[in-house]
Amino acid sequence: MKKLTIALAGNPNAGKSSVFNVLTGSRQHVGNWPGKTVEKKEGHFQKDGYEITVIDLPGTYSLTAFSPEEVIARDFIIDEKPDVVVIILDSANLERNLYLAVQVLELGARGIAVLNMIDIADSRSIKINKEQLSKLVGIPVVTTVASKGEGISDLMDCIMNIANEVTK
Amino acid sequence: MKNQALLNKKPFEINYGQETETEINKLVKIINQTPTLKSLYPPRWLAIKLLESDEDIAQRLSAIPGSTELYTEAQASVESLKKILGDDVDILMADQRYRWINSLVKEVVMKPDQSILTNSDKIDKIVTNRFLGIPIFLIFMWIVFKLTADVSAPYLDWVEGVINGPIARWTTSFLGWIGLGDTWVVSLFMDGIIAGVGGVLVFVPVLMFLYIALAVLEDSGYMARAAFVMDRLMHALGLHGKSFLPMLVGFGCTVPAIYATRTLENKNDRILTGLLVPFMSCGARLPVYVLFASIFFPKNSGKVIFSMYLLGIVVAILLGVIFKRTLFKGKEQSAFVMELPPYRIPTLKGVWRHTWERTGAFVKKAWTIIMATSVILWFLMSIPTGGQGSFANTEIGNSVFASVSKAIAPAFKPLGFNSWEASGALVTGFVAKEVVISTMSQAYAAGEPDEEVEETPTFLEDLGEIVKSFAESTLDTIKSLPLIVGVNLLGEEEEAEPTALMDAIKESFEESSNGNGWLAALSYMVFVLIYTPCMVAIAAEWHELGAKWTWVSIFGQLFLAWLLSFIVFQGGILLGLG
Amino acid sequence: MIPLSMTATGELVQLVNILGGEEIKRRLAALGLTPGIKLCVVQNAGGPLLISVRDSRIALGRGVAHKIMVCHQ
Repeated sequence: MKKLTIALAGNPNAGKSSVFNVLTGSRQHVGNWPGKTVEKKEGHFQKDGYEITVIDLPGTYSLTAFSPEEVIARDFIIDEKPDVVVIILDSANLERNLYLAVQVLELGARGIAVLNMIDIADSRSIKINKEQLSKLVGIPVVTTVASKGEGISDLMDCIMNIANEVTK
Repeated sequence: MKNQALLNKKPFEINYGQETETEINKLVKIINQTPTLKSLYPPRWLAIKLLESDEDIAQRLSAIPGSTELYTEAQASVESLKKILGDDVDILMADQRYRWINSLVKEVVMKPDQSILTNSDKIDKIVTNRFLGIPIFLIFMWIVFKLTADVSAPYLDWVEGVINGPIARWTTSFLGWIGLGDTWVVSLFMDGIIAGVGGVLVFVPVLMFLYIALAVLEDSGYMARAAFVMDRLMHALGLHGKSFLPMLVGFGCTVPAIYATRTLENKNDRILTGLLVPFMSCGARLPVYVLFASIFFPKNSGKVIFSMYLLGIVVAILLGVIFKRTLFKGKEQSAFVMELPPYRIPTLKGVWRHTWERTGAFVKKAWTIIMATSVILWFLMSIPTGGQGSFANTEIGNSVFASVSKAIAPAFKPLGFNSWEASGALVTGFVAKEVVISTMSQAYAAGEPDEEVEETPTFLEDLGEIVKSFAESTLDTIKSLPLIVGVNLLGEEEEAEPTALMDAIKESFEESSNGNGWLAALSYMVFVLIYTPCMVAIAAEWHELGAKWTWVSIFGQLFLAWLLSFIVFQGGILLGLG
Repeated sequence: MIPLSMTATGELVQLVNILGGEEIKRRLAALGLTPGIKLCVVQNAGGPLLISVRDSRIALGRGVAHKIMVCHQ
């Protein structure tokens, strides 16, 4: 079976663990990052003949070197070179959330932007033009409400598209 | 290829402005000429991090051959940029990123005027209000405390009942069946292993209720508000706003309280709080106070018990202030900066998952250490000394355990209680405070009469009983919910008075303290309050704070317990109170 | 120019600069508090402050708020 590694990045409170949980279901393993007291969550799922490993990076606002969480997240992206970094964004708070996204992309990672909690943005009449966002940032964009499982199949399709490109 | 955007061929770049870009390009050129660097980091990213004076990168570069030139060049670039732009380069770069994002957001996001109050803002107007904030916080904390202390109690009884009833019976029958009945193995399993497993499992309901409460508070977004509200008060004690919750939970049980320190982001705050939490007198210490207070202070037992709780709080506050100025001096205390996420309704699934994950982690980590201690203790109590009795069939007074207790008893002489029975109870109390009294009643041989042998229920009856009692516990739990607001539907528990034990303790303490029995009793209670809460708490500290701080905690508590008991007893005598 | 701690609830101010160490500057920058940004003081009633910046609500301890210099527009 072909293997694929994806990492989840995002601000604390952006709903990263909800996305992680719906993607991996019960196939999870909780441990610590080597030599650190920071929790490391790893999960798996299978789709279209791929065995996909999902790594939940620590929730951070930035990728500087001031907290162990930030160093762990960026080291993982640099050293382990995940095939895809799924960047979870709080749709109602896009500006601040994109700050992390920009830094992930500056690292040269192949990214997917997830506009999570889109329902809350809707309820506050915040409209996001996701095609335009995708074009300007240069990565695919999907919308989700991860806590209710909405939009996750779109996200999976998006991951599989990239998987096919990567392994071609 | 159907989607060009997916491939992300053109690397993502932000323009940092002409001056900065010139320096970036200069550095990128050097990096591209150094193969060791080029293969390790994306060149442009490395250049940016160098301009931001990133400590982690600087440190790593120093270990890579051929990086000195780059590093010197980078520092020159930082200096020249600082001159031109007049501010810290890293902040300016952060600003550039935000400018880029800002123009992006302007193009893709349409939103109503900012002045609209969201529901979150409306709730915050009340919850973080200067006057209402603290009362609201206290109500929530009270609920958490009650959930862990009272509402979990019926399940705790259920777990205990299942382990001591059916599980114990099945083990006995199984051992009999494989031909080991009536041997010491039965005793090892009953009093060592099953007691140990039980010791871990009884914490499961308590922890589950705590984790449910924590998950709801965290997932709803209230936890951040709680820290906001409590920051002012806790700040005065050198702690973080979030330290309050673990402290409060500590009055129920130290174990979940130590796990609750996880909600603190900063490591130093977490360690400091974890060191102070054990001084919050947990529920298991209460029976010891009650027993001693009713023996030695029958008229003022309430006041004496209350003063124990108060002493724990005072010790924690003083230690907090002292630690802040000594052990943690100069360690960065994280500045209070925290996002208040919008309120959300927690999902059942999310809460359950949190609860399950964390409880499972506890069981996995705790069982080895606790099992080992219980088995060791069992061996100590089973090995006879002085030729009396045989292995696993000996009076406790003739066991190695008694010899060990006798050996350490002189250390308690200055504290007024050097009988082996009293010090032996402190040894088992190291494992769990719940067993202090039962050890005493065994040791003072004022033991309970042997239980009558009941007719052994069948396997099916046992299974039925487990299910039935679980249902009853659930019912009791529901009935205990009103306890949160102080209404008790459960009816008072009957408490038998162990008068023989009380007399024995009184006599022993009067004797060991030369007639200052009540001072010795007070000193004993102080010792029980301050020293190691239990083995499970140690396992939790090990898990959360690491080995070093766990040792600091164990020895610090023992020393402090001895010192304070010494002051109480000797001070009392000096003042002529005896 | 005044420290953020001296502003009143409801005021709209602009961040000028942050006095203090690298760490706090970077932490605040990551949360969107960069020079020139406009922020609204949601609550300043003794104790920590609550501000609104770039659509998020941030709590700041008084100690930090003393170091953040702002001006009225």
